Amino acid sequence: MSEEEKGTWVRVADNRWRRVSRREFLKIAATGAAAASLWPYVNVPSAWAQARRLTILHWAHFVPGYDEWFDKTYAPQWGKANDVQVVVDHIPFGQIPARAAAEVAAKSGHDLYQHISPAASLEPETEDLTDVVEPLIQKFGIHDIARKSTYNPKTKKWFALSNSWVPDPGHWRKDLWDAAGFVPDSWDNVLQAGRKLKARGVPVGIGLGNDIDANYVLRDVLWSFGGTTQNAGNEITINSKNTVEAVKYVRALFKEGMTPEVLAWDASSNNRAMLAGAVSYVFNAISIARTSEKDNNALTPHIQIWAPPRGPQMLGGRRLGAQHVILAYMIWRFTPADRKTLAKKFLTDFISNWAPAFKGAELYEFPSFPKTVPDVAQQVANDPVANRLGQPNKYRPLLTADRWSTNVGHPGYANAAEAEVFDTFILPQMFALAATDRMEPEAAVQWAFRQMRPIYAKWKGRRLM
Amino acid sequence: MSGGAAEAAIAVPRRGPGEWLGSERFLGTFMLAPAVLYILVLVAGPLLFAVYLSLSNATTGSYTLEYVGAANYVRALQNSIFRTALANTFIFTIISQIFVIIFGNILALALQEKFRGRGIVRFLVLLPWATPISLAAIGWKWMYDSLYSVVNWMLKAVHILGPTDFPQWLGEPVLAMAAIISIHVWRTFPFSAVVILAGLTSIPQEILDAAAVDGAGFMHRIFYVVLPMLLPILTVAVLFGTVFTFTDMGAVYILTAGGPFNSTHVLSSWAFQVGIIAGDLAQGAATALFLLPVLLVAAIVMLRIAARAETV
Amino acid sequence: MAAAAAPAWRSLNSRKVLGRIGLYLAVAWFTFYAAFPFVWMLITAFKRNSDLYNIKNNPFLFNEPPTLEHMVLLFNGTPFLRWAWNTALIGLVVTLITLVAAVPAGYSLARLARTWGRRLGIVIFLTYLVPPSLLFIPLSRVIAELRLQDTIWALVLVYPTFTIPFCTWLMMGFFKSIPGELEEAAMVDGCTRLGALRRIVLPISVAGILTVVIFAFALSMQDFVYALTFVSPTSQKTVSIGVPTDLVRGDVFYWGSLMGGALVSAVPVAILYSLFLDRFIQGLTAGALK
Repeated sequence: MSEEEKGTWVRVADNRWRRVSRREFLKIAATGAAAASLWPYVNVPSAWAQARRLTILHWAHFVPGYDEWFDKTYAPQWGKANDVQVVVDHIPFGQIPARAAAEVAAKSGHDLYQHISPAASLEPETEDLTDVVEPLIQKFGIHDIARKSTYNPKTKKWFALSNSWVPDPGHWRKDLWDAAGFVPDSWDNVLQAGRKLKARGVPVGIGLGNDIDANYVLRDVLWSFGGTTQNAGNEITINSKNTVEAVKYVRALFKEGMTPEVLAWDASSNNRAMLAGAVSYVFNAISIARTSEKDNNALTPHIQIWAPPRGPQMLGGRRLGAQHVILAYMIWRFTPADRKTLAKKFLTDFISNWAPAFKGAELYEFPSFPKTVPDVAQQVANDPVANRLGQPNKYRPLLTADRWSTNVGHPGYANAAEAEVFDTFILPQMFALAATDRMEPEAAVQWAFRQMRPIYAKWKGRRLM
Repeated sequence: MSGGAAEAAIAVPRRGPGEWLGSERFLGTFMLAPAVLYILVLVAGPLLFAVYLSLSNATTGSYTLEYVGAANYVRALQNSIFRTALANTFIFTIISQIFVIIFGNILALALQEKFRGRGIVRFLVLLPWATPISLAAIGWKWMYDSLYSVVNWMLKAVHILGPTDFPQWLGEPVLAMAAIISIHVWRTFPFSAVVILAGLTSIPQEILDAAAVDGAGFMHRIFYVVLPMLLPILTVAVLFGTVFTFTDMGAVYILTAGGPFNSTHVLSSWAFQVGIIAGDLAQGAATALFLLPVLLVAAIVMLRIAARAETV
Repeated sequence: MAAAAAPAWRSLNSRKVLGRIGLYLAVAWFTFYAAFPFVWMLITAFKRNSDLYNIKNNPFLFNEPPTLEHMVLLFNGTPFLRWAWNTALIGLVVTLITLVAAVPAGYSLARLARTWGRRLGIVIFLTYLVPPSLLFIPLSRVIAELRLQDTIWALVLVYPTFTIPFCTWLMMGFFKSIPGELEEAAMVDGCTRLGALRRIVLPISVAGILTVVIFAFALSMQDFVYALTFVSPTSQKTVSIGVPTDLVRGDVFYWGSLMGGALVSAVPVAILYSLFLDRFIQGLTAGALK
């Protein structure tokens, strides 16, 4: 390229020009070829393309096999029976709200949109599902978590339909706890065992970072100490003595039973730390137990699950834990009427035959409509994997999960204000500010209160609660 | 710049049948039009809408807008997380831009030299820029992991860290900010090097040779010959980098999600968290647009400077 | 340049050696900084999980035999190749659109525009002040109106909004660095303005155009907010959104496959860039400016 170009300008330009023009020709040819190969993209399947389609948006499930079953077995079968093509799309769970916002703004999107946490702020743009939910309740009953997370008592609207909720039990290293001489049945035990276990290099791991696991487990602590974020009348109740006690407890636990790594955790960190044998106690959906089984982890027999710990007797001694995630479908208001009908039929059919989904989800998910899986207890007690590994009782603590699990926003509903408090990690921040001595416990609670007040005022102003 | 007189002199003989096409004015408009139209339709329009949102009470679930004036801006200012994010935005932008420009300059100068293995170095240095941020940040997250951090492992291996130290890169506000900046610099400095490299080539070799013959040393040539001539492109690179960094949320969002205790949010990530994830669209819009007036003034000033530097 | 341009004038051997050492140190540091994450990805992508998750192991060694299982999952368990193709295709079309819009606009700003045009040019640049974290909300409506939702064309339409402004400015800078006399001479010889642009200015702007190509392609690969919110069918996803969707499941990261995916998507593109860069530097040094 360099040699012949020396010389006068014009000649250089001339040379180049010819070269350029050859290149241009090639470019045009290539564009033509590219255009031909692009044709498949023009005819792309999408939400608005054909009439007899039903589009569903799901997260990427914990259990890859569940997606496999739903996408390739259940959905096509239902589609065939109803003469519809069912299309299932997946997105990462953290981005579900963003895509939902885009669909609402576009007034076009999936016929069924599945959330993994309550999305009450979207209520104005969702179809009222009363005509689907009420008959299902008649037939199968409904778990309080599902009601509190998908129904708005102020507007009397079922803005979503929950098919399942996921328990969030403690995972503990039985061998290490045995050696320390405790069981994780009360928060006091956790602190006492935590001191010993930290000294042995396997601390407790209650997340304090900006992630959903921390958001859930810290609510467990709050409730067990008798505190709440709000009452049933949607008034903020965070600024209570009980909250201060809970914050003080977490500060003590952080200093005496944990290491600073819990500040850095995201939703996957406690899994890894537990599976690596680096911590002795964490909270999660049963994904830790399941992953260790799949990976043939040597720790599998020692990783056990247990209900959330009780709070101190003098503060009521409650045992209460947040659900881990709650899966709920929405139908957008702007979806064409015929497809709304189709989507509702899908929901009714799916819930009425939810038992295979329960099996497919490997005990992660529990039914929001309890009677759809009459033999939950037997299945939990006879998990095939646990049986095969010679630990038939491993998942038994889940038998009581429906008693000790509750919804975000307890004792009230999971309303839009509570959801914003949840999504902006106010509770983890409150606990972490005190735990790291950046604030006194009382001041941290006051800080949280000051953060929450405008949020509640704002959403009340929007007449959603 | 070619003066207006020269342009006019050329334009005059072309009057006649092809007057319009030949008219420089028309041509100028015509050539600028596609870019301007594209931007007006797909950015300016949506931007105005976003401004409107920030003055309303919109949520992601409801666009029945009521005008609320500056309430969202006031509320934003009253929020301590917002104020932290505001400060972080400046810290994040300024520190990473300083590194990007220094690194970009040195790398560009180095890549101009001939040395063995230059080809492979160029390839390796361009890698960060060829990786989608969503994947690159996950890779870095893995390197800063709370348990498996290879960064810590290496620091231990060279005895910067003691055997029991294990800094939590993503769990300590200052370290987390450093981690975020390290990723952002990593992903943007190759590009700034390329731009500067391109700018370097616009400097005629004769000038450099002449300077060398006059006895100017390497550093002298860099500071008194190369950098002044690079100024226009450098200004654009800095400006672009600054603005791009100001509005970027990729590194923060994927690496820390704003944690620990919302101490590493920048305005754009906090706007996303509040406006999109938590659903308060109006508040999110106010947060995202908060600095728009300041940035506008700053950008215009910098662009003026750039323009003046060019016309000299 | 220092070494090549200043020989024979004064024997500065020690200075030269120092400069050389400095050069190599700088190069070594930048190479390490830029490339280390990829070394780490490479190791992770071929490690067994049991090896990877053992905190006691030296992370750089294969304490257990390497495995292909992560790569098998990436290529057989996900439509990775389809995503890679989508990414490349979007990048190419966006680059074309960018060139068509930015090169003339840059020229116009450099040579033809008057006051109003310059102001418009500034306005173009200022579009970067708009954070994409929110812009997708109004844009999603535009996409839906155009019936592009859930196709890669939505991204093809949107990405030029952030490639055009900078590329326009970049080209403007390049055109300004070319002496105006060149075209004027050609125009005196009877060329039209457009003719002069095509025959004289464009050929010596190859470097700038290549920068624009690289830049536009790179930036269109970087996005994830738009890809996430505008495209949900698996067949239409890009690498930047497809890989995390399928390989981060709930709270389990498939690290090996994720790192493999990052590596496999970065390496070919970086090779392409460095080839382009070669041409680009050649074009400059060979060039007209001598």
